[in-house]
Amino acid sequence: MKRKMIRSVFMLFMLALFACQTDDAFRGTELEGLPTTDFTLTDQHGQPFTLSEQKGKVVLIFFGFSFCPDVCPLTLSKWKQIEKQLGEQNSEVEFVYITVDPERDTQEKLKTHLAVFSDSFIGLTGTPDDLKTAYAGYGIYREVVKVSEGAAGYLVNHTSRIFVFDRAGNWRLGISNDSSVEDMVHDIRLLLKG
Amino acid sequence: MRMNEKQVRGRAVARIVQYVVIAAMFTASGCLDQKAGAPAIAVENVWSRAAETMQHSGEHAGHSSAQMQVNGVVYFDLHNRGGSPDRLVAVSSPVCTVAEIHRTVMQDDRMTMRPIKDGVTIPPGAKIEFKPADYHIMLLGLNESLTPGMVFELEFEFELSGKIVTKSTVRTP
Ligand SMILES: [Cu+2]
Repeated sequence: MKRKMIRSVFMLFMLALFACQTDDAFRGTELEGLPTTDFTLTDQHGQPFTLSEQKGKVVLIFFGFSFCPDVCPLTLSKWKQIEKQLGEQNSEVEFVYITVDPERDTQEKLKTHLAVFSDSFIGLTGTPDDLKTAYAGYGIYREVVKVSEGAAGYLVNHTSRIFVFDRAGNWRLGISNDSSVEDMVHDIRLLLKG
Repeated sequence: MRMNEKQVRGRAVARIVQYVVIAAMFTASGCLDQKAGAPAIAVENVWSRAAETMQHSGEHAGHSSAQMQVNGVVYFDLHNRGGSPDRLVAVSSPVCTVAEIHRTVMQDDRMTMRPIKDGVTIPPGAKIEFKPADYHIMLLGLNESLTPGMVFELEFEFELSGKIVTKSTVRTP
């Protein structure tokens, strides 16, 4: 008797959990009324990429650099998993990586770096002015820091948020870079539906 | 105020007792240290993300090879099964110019990476994870590409445990 009751309470609890999982609320931060800044940059194959021309697709943008050893590759490997989970819906999603290190991230470098993760990821760089437009439009923090005395080179500390645009081309969500793959897939699917 | 002989002697005795107590406490603390035992550090689950150094200098006109240096990273668990704390003070590897202890800090959606100059303390019984977006070892200026499946040597230096040599396995990113 008691066991049965415990079991039904447990079932109810699981149902409630399930309900939460399939809810229609975004797990990322919803942005309302923030203007979407359009920009045109060049992808790793030398083709121009304009944000406003991606309408009809859900667009994810991450600002990073290929010499970044820790967080940027972590984001790209999450994207790779998202791609897998989306399956066929993947053709309706654009994964865009904009460099914060145009000095070293040449088209060639972006091409080899992104190919390690996925051939469908888009890597963008551009003229200092065009990049500035994109950085400014999304409030990108970017700071060049020297590494140790013994080694040459530098690192770039930067904004780690993922920017998400809906099919209409509006900037809709900000997803924290440490969100789980499941949460990101959830939000992308929700945007694809609506 | 004048003291009689008895009072003077009493004070002297009190002082001796005080010294004895302090000395005993020192000895006791020494005993406690010994009881706690030495640290016992294990470096486990060591891996690195694949990283490609650039060999074709022609592609990068205007950049010295030093500017174009590629960095690698190492992740692992530090497990202290001993009875007292120890501290990771340095790491080195033949695959890079310099290895540094770093920590990535995410604050307000900003990613910043900081060298940890004072090292990382591992309390007794604790396991400290060096993992993506947290503590990690940066391999600055790789001498060679880290290709998936490759295994390379790392030397860890601890304050008390001394040097521990281990190997890192390169995984696909
Ligand atoms: Cu680092």
